[in-house]
Formats: sequence, C-alpha cells, structure tokens
Amino acid sequence: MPKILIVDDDPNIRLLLKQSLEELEDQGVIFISADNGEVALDIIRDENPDVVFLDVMMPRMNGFDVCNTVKNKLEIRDVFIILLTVKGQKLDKQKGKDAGADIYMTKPFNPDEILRVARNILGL
Amino acid sequence: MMNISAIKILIVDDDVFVREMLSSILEAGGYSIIMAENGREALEKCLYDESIDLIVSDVNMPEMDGLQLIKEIRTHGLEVPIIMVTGVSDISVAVDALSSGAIDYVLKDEGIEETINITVKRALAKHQLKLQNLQLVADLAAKTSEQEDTLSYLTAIINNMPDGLLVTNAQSRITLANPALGRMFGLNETELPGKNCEDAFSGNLAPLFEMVCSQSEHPVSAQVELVGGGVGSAVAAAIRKQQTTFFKSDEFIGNLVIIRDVTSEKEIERMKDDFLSTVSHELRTPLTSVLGFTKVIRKKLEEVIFPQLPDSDARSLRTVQQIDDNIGIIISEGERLTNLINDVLDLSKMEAGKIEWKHEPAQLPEILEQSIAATASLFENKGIEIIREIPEILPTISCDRDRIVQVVINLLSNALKFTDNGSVKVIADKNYEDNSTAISGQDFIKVSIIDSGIGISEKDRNRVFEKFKQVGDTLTDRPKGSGLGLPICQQIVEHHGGKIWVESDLGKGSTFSFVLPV
Repeated sequence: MPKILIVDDDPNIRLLLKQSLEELEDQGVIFISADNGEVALDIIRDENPDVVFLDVMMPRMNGFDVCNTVKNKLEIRDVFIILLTVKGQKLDKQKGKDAGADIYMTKPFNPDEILRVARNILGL
Repeated sequence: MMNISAIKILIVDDDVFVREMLSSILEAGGYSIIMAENGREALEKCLYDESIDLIVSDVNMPEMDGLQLIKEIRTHGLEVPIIMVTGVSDISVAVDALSSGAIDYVLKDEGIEETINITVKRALAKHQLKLQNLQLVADLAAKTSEQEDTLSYLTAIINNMPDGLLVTNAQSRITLANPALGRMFGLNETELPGKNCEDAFSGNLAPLFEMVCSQSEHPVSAQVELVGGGVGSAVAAAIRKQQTTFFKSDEFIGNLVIIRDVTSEKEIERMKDDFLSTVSHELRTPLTSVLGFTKVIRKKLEEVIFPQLPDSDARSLRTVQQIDDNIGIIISEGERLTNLINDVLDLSKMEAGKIEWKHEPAQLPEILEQSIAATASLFENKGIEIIREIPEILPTISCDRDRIVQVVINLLSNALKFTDNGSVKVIADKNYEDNSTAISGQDFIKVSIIDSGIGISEKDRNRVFEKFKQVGDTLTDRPKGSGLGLPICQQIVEHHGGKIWVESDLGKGSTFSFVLPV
C-alpha cells in the first residue's frame, strides 16, 4: 500500500492536505501525519512513506533539516519529498535543491494541485 | 613708494638757520616739512600727529637732546624713523644714535645739501622695507595662528567623530588614528602612529591593511568585524596632493580609511527581515487554510452536494448560484490578499537591496510574447484586443528575464483593468534616445503599453508610482490590487538602468512606457 506522510505543525494545514488527498484513500493510500520534524524523521525511517508533504517552518526541527537528513545523511532514496514553503522565508530554489527536496510548492497551495502532484508521483 | 608730496618730514634743530637750510633743501626735493626747536617740541608734534613719516634731528638741543628724543619716541611706541644730524667732530654720537634706534645719520658739513637728500631717500626706503617686513611677519603669524586654529578644529573633529579614521603615508606607515578607531578595534590608538600597517594590523584589522595596500584609484569598501562582535563598514581612498604644475599628475601621498559602526543598522535590518519573514509566515498559514478549505468546499459542493439538489426548484437553483458566487468572492479576495503580501515582501526586499538579480542576455520580443500569453485569457474574458507592434528582431538586452516579464504583465493587467472597451497596444522600439542621460551613445529599447481606458488626470500622474496610491476615488472605485504594482515595476526598471513613466489623456487612455539599456 502506498503511504503518504503529511508534516505540518498547524493542525488545519494537516487536515487541509488530508482532505485534498482524500480521494486517494479510496484507492488504498495510507495517510500518516506528524506535527514536527523529529517525529516526521522517525516515521520516514520506520514506515518508509512513498511521498512526504513537508512544511519548512516548524518548531524543533525544520523541514530543511528533515529533508537534508533523509536525503543526504540517511541516503533514503525511494521517498519523494515535497517541501511546502512560504514565499519570503529565507529559502530559495538552491537551498531546496541542496537539502535534497524533489520539488517544492508554495503556500497558499491549490488543493487540486496537491492531488495532481500526488497522483503523478504514485502513478494513480 | 608713496607720493613724495605726501611724505611729511619733521625737522628738529635749535638753530633756526640749520632748520631753514634743511627745510629748503628737502622742500626742493618735494617733501612736506614741519619743524620743531627742540626734542620736547618734536615729541609733542609726533604724539599729536601720527602722519609724520620721518624725523631729521639735531643732537645737541636745549630741554631735550636728540638721543633723548629717540628714546622718548620709542618709549611712546612710535615707529617713525629718525635721521641724526651730527657734527663732524662727534662721530661717536652718531654711533650712539644708531644704537639708540636712529635709522641713519648725516654729517653737518659742506656736502649736507647732497647727502641729506640721499639719506632721507635711503631712510624712507629702508623704513618702508622694515614696515613691509613687519607686515609679512604679522601676516605669517596670523596665517600660522589661523592654521593652528584650523588644526585645532580638525583635531577636535577627528577626535570626537563617531567614525574610526586611519591615515597612512605613501610607505603604508600610519600617520593618524583617532579614538573612535581605538574603541572600534579595542586598541590604544596613540600607539599606532609611526607603525607600519603590516605590523599594526593583525586579526580584525587585517582587512583594513589590505584596503590600504590596494592603493586603488577608486575608493574601495569592505565590511570589517569590530571588537565585541560588531560590524563596521570601511571605505578606503587614496590621498593625492594636487600639483600646481599643469602637466604633472597628482602625487600619491597616502591612504585614508574611514570605518563606520553599522552594528545597529545591521541589527535593525536583521530584525526587519525576521519580522517580514514571521509576518509573511503568520499571515500565510491562516490564508492557506482559508483558501484551501474554501476550494475543497467548492469542489465538494460541485461534485457531491449540488448534483443532489432538485434542479426544478427555483429557490435551490438561486441558492446554488449564490453559494457559488460567494465562494468565488472568498477565493478571489483571498488570492488578492496573498498577492498583496507577496508584493509587500517583494518591494521591501528590492528597496533593501536583498534581491539577487540575474543578468542574462534576453530577447525583448520573447519577453513581450510570454507576458502577453500569460494575460491572454484575462483579455479574452473582457473582450479587449491586444495589438502588437513589435519588431521581430531587437538588440539583445541583459536583464533578469522573470522580473521584466513581471513588469510587462503588471502593465498589461493595469491597462486591462482600466479599459472597458477598445484595445491595448504593445509597442517596442529600438530607436529611443534619452536626452536626459549624461551617458551619450547608450542605446535604449522602449516599450509602451497603450490603453484606450479612462486615463489619468495630470495631478494623479505623478502619484501612480507611489506606494499604496491608487488613482481615483477610493470610496466609489473599489481598488483592485495591492497598490504596489507600479512601485515594484519602477524598482525593477530602475535597477536595470532604465526608467518608467506615464503619459495620459483623461478619458482617452494612458501610455505607460519604459526603456531598458541595450
């Protein structure tokens, strides 16, 4: 079963992402969520999700560091990470690339776009 | 030499014949003559009349003799020169007279008729020279004092200025360091002069040394670390002494480094960045929820709820239409708010010089086509035609392509916003000469976006590039946009070395034009 991990410290955004993707639930996709980077990192290590929607600005461990640890330190290759950034934060394309993010999307995002991206990655 | 008739000579002798003789000789020479019978009378006349230029005086006289007269004259602070007329026999008196302050002496003998004239002339010339000399000495003293004052002022300024100052000579030896410099780098500035830059500067000061040694033609600037983790902004410039000779180039005599403590500026800048970053995050997070959930709701209503409603019921249909419209408003207003936040961030970053600009060669026709394509659907919806007058080939420009696209899209959207029927024209032209630019020979490409809309009144024309200034009545004309579009365009165009302006006929339309250097 494909797994999608949703990481954001804001419960509303987690809910929004889940609702945006809920059609996939009918196709057997399993959703896991985490409200901070540390928990997310544990889940990525233990549960091997296929796709991660990862917020950047979070307490304790930010999305950058999670991404960097997963891609560059743990060298987990078979996970597709979508960084959810907010324009105006100190984040540019290069930094996202360095951290190893596969793509990044800016908030506010379009729910349909989130769904389309997930479908493309999972081939559903 | 002054006019002879204006020269006044006082003749002092108790012998009336000598007085008359000398008087007639000197009068024949053209001088004005006054006379006194003895030293006392002469002194009184001198004290009374300061215009006396020369005294010719006998030695032996009743009441006050010649030598006494000299002493009295000098005691009273008078500088008038005195010639002593002495007998042949008492030459030693002449010596006494000279040592007492007489300027010269004449022997009372047969040849006096000739010698007195020569001696008077010589004495006057000598006195004149002496006065000139005194004047020069006085001028010099005044100049020196003036310079000492200036030096005191400068020293006070240098010692009390908040900026650090370091001066080196042509051999890179330190000649001046002020207390601010000492404070900034935590060292005793009085120990610096005389030291070689290389020896004095290690650690934090090393960048300064490099600046000094570069001896660049142009001022160079660098950021330096100050004691206590502060940040200094240093500027170094060569000191050149201007040569008086036209064909000689200016002589390099040393370097000057000025360091300004910009710690608090940097801190404020950092705080502003943090603030903007936080605000933008805190604003966007709820916006993401608002916009996202609204879109989810719309989708669910359209896909699940609305199809279940009976389409025969007029009330249901009206309600569906209303809900659809209202959700549309929430979304478009949410997006407007998002754009406003983006624009505020964009503009504040540009104004703070925080944007990393690309400089890539680009083809303007491609940029224009891309911008037109991006706005084509908006134009189609409103039924406004876009007319292109763009040459196929234009000179290549070096620019940040995405930013120029942003400018053109902004101008096109503005043109559309204020045009209800008719067309919008996009014209590009390479034959633009900027007469106001001092750089001659610089070629520009001009782009104009011409609309047939409501136009802008003359008093509003200058304000359209101001922040949050949307032209028109804010009560009746609901603003559609952030009010930051044109200020952003201006920032972008000016950063590229171009300029942007508007021409307009109220009621007939506006032309926004910008030029970019080739």
